[in-house]
Amino acid sequence: MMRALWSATLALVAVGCQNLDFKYIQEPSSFKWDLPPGFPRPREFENNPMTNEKVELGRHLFYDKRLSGNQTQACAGCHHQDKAFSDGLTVGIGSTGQAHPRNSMSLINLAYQPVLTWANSLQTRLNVQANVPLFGTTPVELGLAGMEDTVVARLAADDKYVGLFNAAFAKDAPTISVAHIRDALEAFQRTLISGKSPYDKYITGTDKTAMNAAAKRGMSLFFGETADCFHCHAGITFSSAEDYYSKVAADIQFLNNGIYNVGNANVFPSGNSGLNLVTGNVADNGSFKAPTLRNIELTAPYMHDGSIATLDEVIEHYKRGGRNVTGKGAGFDGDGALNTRKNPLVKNFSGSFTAQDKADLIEFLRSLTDTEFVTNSKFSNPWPKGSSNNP
Amino acid sequence: MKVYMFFTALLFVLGACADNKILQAIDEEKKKAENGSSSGSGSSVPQQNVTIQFAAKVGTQVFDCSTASYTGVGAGGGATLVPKDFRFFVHDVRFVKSNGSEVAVTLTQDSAYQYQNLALLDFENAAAGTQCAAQGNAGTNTTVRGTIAASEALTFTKVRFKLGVPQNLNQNGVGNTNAPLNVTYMFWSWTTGYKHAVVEFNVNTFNPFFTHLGSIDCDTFASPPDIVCDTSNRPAIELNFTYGQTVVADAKELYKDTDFSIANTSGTQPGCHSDRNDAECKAVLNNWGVDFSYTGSSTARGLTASSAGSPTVYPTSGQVFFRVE
Repeated sequence: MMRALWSATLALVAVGCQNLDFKYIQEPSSFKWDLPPGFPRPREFENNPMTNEKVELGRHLFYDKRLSGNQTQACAGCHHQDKAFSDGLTVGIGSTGQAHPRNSMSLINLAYQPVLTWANSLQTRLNVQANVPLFGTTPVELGLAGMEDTVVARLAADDKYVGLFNAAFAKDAPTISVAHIRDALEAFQRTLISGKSPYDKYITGTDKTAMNAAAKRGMSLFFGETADCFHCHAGITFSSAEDYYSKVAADIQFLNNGIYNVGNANVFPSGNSGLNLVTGNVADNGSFKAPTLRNIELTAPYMHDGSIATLDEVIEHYKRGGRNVTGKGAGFDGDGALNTRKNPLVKNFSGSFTAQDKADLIEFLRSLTDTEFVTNSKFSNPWPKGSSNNP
Repeated sequence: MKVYMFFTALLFVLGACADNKILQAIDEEKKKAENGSSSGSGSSVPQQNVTIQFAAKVGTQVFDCSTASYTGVGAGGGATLVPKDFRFFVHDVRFVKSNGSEVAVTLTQDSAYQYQNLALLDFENAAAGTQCAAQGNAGTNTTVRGTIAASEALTFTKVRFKLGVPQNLNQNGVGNTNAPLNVTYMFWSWTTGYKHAVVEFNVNTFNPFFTHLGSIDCDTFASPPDIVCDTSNRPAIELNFTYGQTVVADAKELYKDTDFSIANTSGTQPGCHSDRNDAECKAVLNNWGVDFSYTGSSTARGLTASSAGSPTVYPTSGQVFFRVE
């Protein structure tokens, strides 16, 4: 009996404590977030509270090519501010030229995202996810695997960093470490909050003229039951994953949008099939996080593999209730509309949807472009113009 | 008994997740209770040091980054392999006495290769000019060191351990910077965890064949998330063993059923990365003592293509990677 009780207790301990340090700060800290009107306070983590010093350090690191093995690429290499921190390429290209299977994601409003990246339910923290681009080898992104001492030495040789790390991590020597690099990158990326688009100005009443008539018509299509976009692109983030202090629980959904149906066998292309690659659950084949639509005008091409070039084509795919892939070979072809794992809300609405409707919907999506965000100097490259990090 | 009940209570008082030291303390108290010793007196039991020697080999040859190549490895005539990497974690190390009872080894905490009940065995030295240089590090570790009660005679019949990083230390990438959990090449970051084992060679000079063993089929539960991987890929190893012998990990045995002349399965990583779609994984995982559940469509290497949703399961007939010499 006692032993059984013990086993039960230990099981609880074992299951309950894998993320040993993952706790939210219950009382909001004194950090000033500079939030757009109507945006709720993001969660903060006990093991990496937000400070201006960490953010400033993280910004320098984000734009620093010394964070790649061959010193040719920074995080910013695949995440450009003028494209809402995406890169305009079909898929990301790493520091050694290897292609990533996925399209580089926009890095906005990550502070509200309880799961990160395209389709990985395990990635819940930016300071953990940072290990993937920094140290991953399949594919190589920044290419630092096995070089942790080298990168620390590189940064320690720069007086600028000695000052920045000491300021950010004064009480936690040695201040320059891989863990602190990751924590600072998390802090900076969490400040990339975009919410001052014409849509926001219209909806919060700060500028009732910010949206034109076409965008307003498109907005009713977006939030209406015809196009039905809002079910998956929801909330302040326009995505299927969102969390902040005033939510009882995080909203997290991974969904199949029917852009593939290889061999009409209800699967996505092998090796790039989404959440099932992580969970091993066949039902998750083709499931991805619905990404944010904020600044979507700036983040083409679209979808996890960058396989749709324009917003017009994206809407054509959804209008049909799935994409019919032809001529791409046996590993790709098939009618996504017939994929039985497709979310049922992705349905054919072509019958009632006019060319004007499509133009209006695109106009609405354009009203989500936050020009102030993509030009905000707080998020720009801090290195002197003409230096190797800012050529 | 009361002591560990206290620790349990303390655990919950402190909140959702306890400090590792508290977990350790609970574990120690549990062990004492199960061993029948009175609680609280365990720390005064005299201890003796024990060491288990490990070696990495390719057949009869020692794995060494500076060896130009190893010939005759694999099925179908054998290939020539150039060494690149050879590292693996072990945990939960125990000796077995002739009466069948176990003696658990308490690992010496060295802030380098041993942390809690986990040890990293590292046989690459990143020698300059070799394939190991790119991703390796200078240090090596070929022993597991710890203590057992001084009263135990060193007349064991078996050694047992588990390959890999235990669940409670895996998937906690947030902030665990304790060596050896901070070795970046062992990160399996896409699962927020670690590679349990890495065995890498280039085949016939340049074609990489990289084998990474890791836990898969992971999902999150609750919020903040706890991560559980349904397919742990942590084989339990048991070897007949006389104290003082060496535990040998042999890449030639691991790859004895792999025909390196067959091209890597298209769309998968070179070698085997514990991927269900990867035809190269059957021969490798089975020889590690791990069942392989195949969901891929390639029929190369004699595999049966699975129909979507129903994997073809290839059960292991037992591990051949480790032996004792």
